[in-house]
Amino acid sequence: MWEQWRQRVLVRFWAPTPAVVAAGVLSAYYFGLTGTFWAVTGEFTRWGGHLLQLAGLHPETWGYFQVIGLQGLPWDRVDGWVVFGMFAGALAAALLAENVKLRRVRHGRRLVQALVGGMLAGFGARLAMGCNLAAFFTGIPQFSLHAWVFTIGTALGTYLGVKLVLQPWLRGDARAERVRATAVVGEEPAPSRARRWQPGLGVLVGAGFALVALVVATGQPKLGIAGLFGLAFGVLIERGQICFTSAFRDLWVTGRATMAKALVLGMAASAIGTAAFMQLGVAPKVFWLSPGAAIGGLLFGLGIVIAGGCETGWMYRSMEGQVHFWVVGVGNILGATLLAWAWDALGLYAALVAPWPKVYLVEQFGWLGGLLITYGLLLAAYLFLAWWEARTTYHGLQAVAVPAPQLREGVVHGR
Amino acid sequence: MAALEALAELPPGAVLEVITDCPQSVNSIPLEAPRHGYELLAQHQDGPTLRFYIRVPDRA
Repeated sequence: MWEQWRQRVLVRFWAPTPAVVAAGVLSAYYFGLTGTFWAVTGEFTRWGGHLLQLAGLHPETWGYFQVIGLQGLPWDRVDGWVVFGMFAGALAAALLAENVKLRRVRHGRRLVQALVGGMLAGFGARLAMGCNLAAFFTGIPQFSLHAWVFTIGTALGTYLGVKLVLQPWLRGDARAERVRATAVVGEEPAPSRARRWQPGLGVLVGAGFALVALVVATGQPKLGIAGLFGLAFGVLIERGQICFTSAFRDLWVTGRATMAKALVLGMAASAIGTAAFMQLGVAPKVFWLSPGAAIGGLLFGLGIVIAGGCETGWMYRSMEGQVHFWVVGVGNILGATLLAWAWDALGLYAALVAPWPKVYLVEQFGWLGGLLITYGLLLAAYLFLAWWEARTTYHGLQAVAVPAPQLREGVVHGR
Repeated sequence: MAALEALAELPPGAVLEVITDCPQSVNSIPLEAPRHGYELLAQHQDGPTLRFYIRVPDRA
């Protein structure tokens, strides 16, 4: 009884759609409670800034850090606590499933890919003032038009990225071998005992962080709440294997739109709640509708496909032990910090961002207008995705409709 | 993609066993197999290792 529950909830992965919708709902509450949206790259840029401060520089005087702020240290900031929570939640969830394993890369060139892709993604995201979260998943529910432009840029960037990574010299080399196996397909092999210490550690990490966050909340409520929400976000993205990169990329590789549709539903769940909090006075986060958003999206999309994952992806995959994504994370921080420098030093802000307006749909079209436009665009996106998925398969072969396999006792095990 | 390409070369009735330590596969393989005309027989998860058994249907 307990074992069945443990397998279903703690071990087997969760269906992504409910996990994404839950994240969407939580994002709305997070905004209401902390006054900011669920975001990570802004904080990563600050971490880059702190490293520069350690090296004796003064990035807090730079224009970019005037915009996003660089006061205090990560544990003084809401954004810092949500990031810590995400790492803790993802690690705890992976440990509870005995899924932490040092996953090394097989070819050195993957690490180069990870670094280059990560840097492109970090740079592009910060040019647009956010990544798959702040400029997309939590950006669209802020009714900021720039997020839609970023999304289109990302779609295009991922398309180009797919063209690149499917080139023969970048492809993987997994080969099928013929074996004469007599395993009974339906039988579960005896579970290995090698990782049985992991769930206990998972409980410690999860409960320990929650306790720390609660203690912090007694003195500084928003920080503690951010930590707890971060914990929940981390658990959701790890258990559901939520992959924003896959949402875009797999449209172009095989036509699969499951994750993309889930994200649309998640944003739909989030937007009305976010709007409610805005009506009560929480200030919206609106950014420039600019070439910066478009180009940033393009670079971001390209980078995440090259890297194989985006900003939230590297966070939970690094906790699973995937070495490749440690490098993506480093690349992200480097790329974001580079953008913070280039914002003034290369005149990017002046050329690509400053002359453009911040378009808040509610200001332009009123509450009803803003909601109708947002939900209308989300509906249009969903319909497009459904149509696209039905007509597209890997290599463009026509999709064959096959009914779901019959679940027969003792033969098919699964989620 | 590797699984789909291997399946494309297998004869009817053959079963492909995919062994992976990539957790992302739970969101791709079980969905792509039926989308491309194959039958997912079973999916096992043992710690970090996932195994999928996919069968090429008999010729109609």
